[in-house]
Amino acid sequence: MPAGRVRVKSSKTTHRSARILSLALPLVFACNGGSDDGDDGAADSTGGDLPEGCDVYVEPSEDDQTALAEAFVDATDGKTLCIAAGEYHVTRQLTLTGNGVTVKGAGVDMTTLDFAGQETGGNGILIKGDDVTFTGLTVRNTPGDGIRADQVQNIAFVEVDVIWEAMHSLDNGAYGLYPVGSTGVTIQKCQVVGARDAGIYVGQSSNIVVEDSVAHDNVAGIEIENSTDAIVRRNQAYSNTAGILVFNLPGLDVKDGKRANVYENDVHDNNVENFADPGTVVGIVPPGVGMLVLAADGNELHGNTISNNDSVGIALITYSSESGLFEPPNDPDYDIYSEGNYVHDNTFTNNGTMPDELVQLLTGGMTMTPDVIFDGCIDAMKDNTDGSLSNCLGDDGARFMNADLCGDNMGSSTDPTTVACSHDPLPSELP
Amino acid sequence: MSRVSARRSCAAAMAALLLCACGDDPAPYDPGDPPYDKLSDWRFFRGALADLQPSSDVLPYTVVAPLWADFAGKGRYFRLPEGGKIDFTDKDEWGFPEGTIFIKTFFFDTDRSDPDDEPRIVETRLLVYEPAGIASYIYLWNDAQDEAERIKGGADVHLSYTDADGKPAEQLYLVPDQNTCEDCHARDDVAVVLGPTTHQLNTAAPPESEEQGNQIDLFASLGLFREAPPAAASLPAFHAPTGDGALAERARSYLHGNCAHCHRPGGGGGPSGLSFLYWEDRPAEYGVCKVPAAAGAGAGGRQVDIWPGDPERSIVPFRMSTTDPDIKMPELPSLLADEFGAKLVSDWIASLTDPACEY
Repeated sequence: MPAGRVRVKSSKTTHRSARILSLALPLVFACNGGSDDGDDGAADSTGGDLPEGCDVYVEPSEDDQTALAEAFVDATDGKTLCIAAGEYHVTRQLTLTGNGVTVKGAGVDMTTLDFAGQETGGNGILIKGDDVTFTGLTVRNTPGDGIRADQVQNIAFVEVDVIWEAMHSLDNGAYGLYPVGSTGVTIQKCQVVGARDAGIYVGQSSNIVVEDSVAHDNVAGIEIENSTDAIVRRNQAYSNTAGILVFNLPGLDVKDGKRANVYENDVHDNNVENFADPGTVVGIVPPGVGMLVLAADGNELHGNTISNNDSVGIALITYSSESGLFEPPNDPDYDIYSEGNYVHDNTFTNNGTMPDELVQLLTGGMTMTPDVIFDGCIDAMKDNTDGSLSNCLGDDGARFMNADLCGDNMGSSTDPTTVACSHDPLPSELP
Repeated sequence: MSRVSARRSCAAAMAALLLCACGDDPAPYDPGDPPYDKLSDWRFFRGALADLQPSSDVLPYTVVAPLWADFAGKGRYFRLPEGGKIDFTDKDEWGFPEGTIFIKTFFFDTDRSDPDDEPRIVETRLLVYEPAGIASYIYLWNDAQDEAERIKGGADVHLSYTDADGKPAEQLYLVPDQNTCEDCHARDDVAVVLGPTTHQLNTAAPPESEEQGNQIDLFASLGLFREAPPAAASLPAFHAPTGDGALAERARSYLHGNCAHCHRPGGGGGPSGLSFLYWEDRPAEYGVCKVPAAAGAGAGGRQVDIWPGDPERSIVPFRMSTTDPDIKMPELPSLLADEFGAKLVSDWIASLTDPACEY
């Protein structure tokens, strides 16, 4: 059957069709009239003007799946694929392989790709091309991850929403916006709601900007994992289990992520019961956490507004199996420590008022936890004479605790002057 | 309109049009430029298309550890360009010259209680070595089984067949869209062909081959390699998963054939840190006691990919045994789990004793 309405301009197919038409117009008409093929031919071309700025154009139809799949094939290098306003029902993962492609919807409230009936594929959309931009559309209810960009150069999501409508459901997908193994990641003015792992999840990547975006009702709002040189600013993370995570995990090809500059974010009311799958690292994050740095170095967390997170505002911790939280990493190249981080000039209001048991484990059973907790561990085998490995706090008036989990600090302390130091500020532009 | 009458009326219309439009000098048939809209225009096969009789320049081949594809049988062929030679290597994919085409046809038994039934051919996939790299094209066969037309956006094929017990049964089979090919056929951002490796091809030629014997020896005798490889008997080979080789060898061959297109450095599953390359000999790399990176629900509450001695506590067979798209491995548009493969891998995990995971 002719698949939906897709229009392309100046594709190879179009050229060829046009050539065949001019050569043998009568034949084509006579023979195609009786056949029921309807595949390649349907994906062109000749009918209707394309909207300005679009090389490939798709509208809602009776077979959105085939129409969108064809449009993604027709979106070859450098093309702009426009997806008209409307709701699309997608049953399989859509894969984009072209480089320099822009996929443009009519706006997040206008163009919605609904994957509730998806039968196959671990993601709603998989991006494999470099220099790709997605903008102005909503991806909804994927059984697996929302949009994954896999090992690409330069991926931008601008005004893209990924939504799961079921509240806090284990049936929701794990990751909303999911660039992994990529260089040059931009996530701007996006929104992710309902991921049962991390809403905005940047993994094993470098040169990252996540800004002016919203993540709520996920397990983790925003997670930067095993990634280097990230700017995370002016986002809102609320009603998640944890607001913003900066993690390094073992067993991955890309190790030693560092230098996340996390500032001017509004991180509040992240108190949702953890609904991640048991067995995942994010699944053990206790509810009520504003920001958590795990085994990551050289990050700067500053100028954030952090409020009403029941367990703790900001915590810096080691991936320590001795704490009972983590399995032994089984990765000889993995550095379990969070070192050289700098927390300063944040505004804390009403955090730590009802700490989860796990956080109480860290504080020795305090019923009110401080705004900021360092577990107090740095690697004793490394040379820290210049203080570069020390975790520093420059938050005047913040309630603080050094939990001295590793026993290097002669007991726990709530004296912030013990960690009053500073590191050079991270750049607010990418290298 | 029936197929036959459609063809007749088309022929009549053609004749009439040719008479008036072209006078007495009929234009030669022009299929246009590749990729052609019709499979027959590639001229891979002679005689009736459904007989899949390869042309003289098309060679059939087979693999030791095939990829599971929802019970599909597969016919594999390749065509080298004239004078083109293969660059041999004993590990990973051989090198093929521009102009090479790999042809894989997927078919289903219509009566699975009868080994001699007439299969229904569903699709033919091409991997074409073009100047810019390897391109994928997919052709969907018609009900009359006399032609296949190129499609880009995939198709749902509803199959009716007689099952192994002689009862009528139905199956939905998904023909992938063209871009989905690269979900598997890509490494480090470059499209690749997966089957033609020494390990996969070091076995007897398929029955449809004109000459019998070991495929690598056969190709060498035909002078297809730029430099002749050593005798096949001295070369490594996978162990047929359904064969009677050692359990570990069969399981690792299966895992390579079904998982290592993604789960290897540079593959789509590379970021997981898990590699199912057959020659990967570090247990932690192929999943022993390895914690998952981003498995999500795929972990199913299990802690490690492979727990020696305990398949129930291992993520790998769990993900192989489900069809939930959120959990299922491999992430292919297949709809049915390979129960044989899952059992093979489970048996292998159950047989492992060392090392024990530290939890």
